[in-house]
Amino acid sequence: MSPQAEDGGLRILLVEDEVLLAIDMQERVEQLGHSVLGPAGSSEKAHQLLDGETPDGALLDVNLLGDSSASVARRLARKGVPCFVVTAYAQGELSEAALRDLPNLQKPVSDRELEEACCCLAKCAAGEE
Amino acid sequence: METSEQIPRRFPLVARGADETETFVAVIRRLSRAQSVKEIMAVAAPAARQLLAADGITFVLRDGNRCHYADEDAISPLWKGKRFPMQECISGWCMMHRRATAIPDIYQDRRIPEDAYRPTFVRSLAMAPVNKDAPVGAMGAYWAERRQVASNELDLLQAMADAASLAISNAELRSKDGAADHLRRDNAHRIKNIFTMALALVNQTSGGNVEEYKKALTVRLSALERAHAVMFEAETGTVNLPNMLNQLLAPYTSGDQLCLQCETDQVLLSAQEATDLALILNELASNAIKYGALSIPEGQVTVSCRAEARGLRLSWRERGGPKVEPPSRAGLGTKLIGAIAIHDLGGEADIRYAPSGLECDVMLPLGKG
Repeated sequence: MSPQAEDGGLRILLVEDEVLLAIDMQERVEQLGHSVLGPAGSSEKAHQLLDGETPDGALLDVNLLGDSSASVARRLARKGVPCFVVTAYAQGELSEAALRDLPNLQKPVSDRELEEACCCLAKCAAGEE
Repeated sequence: METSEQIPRRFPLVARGADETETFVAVIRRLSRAQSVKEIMAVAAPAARQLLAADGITFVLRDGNRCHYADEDAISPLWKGKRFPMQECISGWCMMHRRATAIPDIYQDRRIPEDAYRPTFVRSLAMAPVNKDAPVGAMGAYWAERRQVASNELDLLQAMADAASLAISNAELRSKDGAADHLRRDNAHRIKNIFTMALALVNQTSGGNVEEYKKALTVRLSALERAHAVMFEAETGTVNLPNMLNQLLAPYTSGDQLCLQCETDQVLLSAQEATDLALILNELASNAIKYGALSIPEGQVTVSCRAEARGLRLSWRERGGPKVEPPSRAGLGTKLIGAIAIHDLGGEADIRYAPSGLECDVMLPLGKG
């Protein structure tokens, strides 16, 4: 279905500051056949990773130990990298426009929702949307 | 200009017609939307001054047994910011008697403390309680000349005080609603986060048979619960580190098997940082019970903790246990400790299977959230 690269997977930036969730999400994304850039537990770390490479898509946790991932979202938007915010907040509750306008993946994220989100990123990355 | 001897206008409202009605309507609209008592006073005082052609308006709030002159709009300063005993001022009289009153000449009325008025322009006044049933304040109108206040003027002042009273209740109700709504959303957010963590633990736990899986999962969920219990007790987010470590490790250690060395007593932890600490300690301790120093009575674990500029340095040293060997595949503890690198704190995060026993050093994020 998804128009992915030859090796069948996307490179997905994962921003998540909770260690357990970062591990779990990384494994689940990898099980879907994608590779993970990160995980990054802070926006600085995410920016460092983005200095070195541009991913095909991104999954962004909103609150990063008191910081927010809005600056990462803005940078990815400028580069045209499709993103999902992954959060326990409802979409309307996000205060920053850079995050509010992104598609929202509600925590806890089910396998099916994650798969659909990755498909969506793949389509965007392939220029279908 | 009117002199003090002139007979004041009896019906200023009628005389000035539509302007006053419009003003009154506009004021009621603004009061109905007001968010705070401050805003209500700021709207009501100038409006009352205009409608009553007064030289000054005060807005008084009851503060226990005192009258707090909280706001005013006047040709020259009155008593803004001052507090007087209820028994000694006319606003107190209005609140205690729950009715409006007018005083044509303040120097002829025993209820007036002359000393307080002498420095002011005031010669006559009208005063009405805010919320007649259970007064929370009063509104006063003042004139520089002696003046018979017409009954419809007193009614108008009372109407303004009633409107302000309604607006105050409304604003209070709204802020309570807002707080309750905020609390509800905050709770929903927390609960979702807890379920997210619990589901990740379910996913990250593996075990040979159902019984083993159940046991492993229960241990991990209990660690999550202990982290929440610790943070719930530490309402402000400041936790006593030795107490916290004791609570987290209590299920695993008996008597003198655990040696705690905390160089830092009080640390500021977010719920998430506490959870990370609890999960990592839990994995270290449950592995020590199964394979390490805590698997035999003679074994010992020394846990030291120190807050550093970038985070909380945790070191775990096992001694006196059986010889340890690296596991064939990474368990959750190893994964968690390895993944601490996502925070980029620059501290070591490593596990060594030393001949003397397992050693682990990890730098945890601390005190930003």
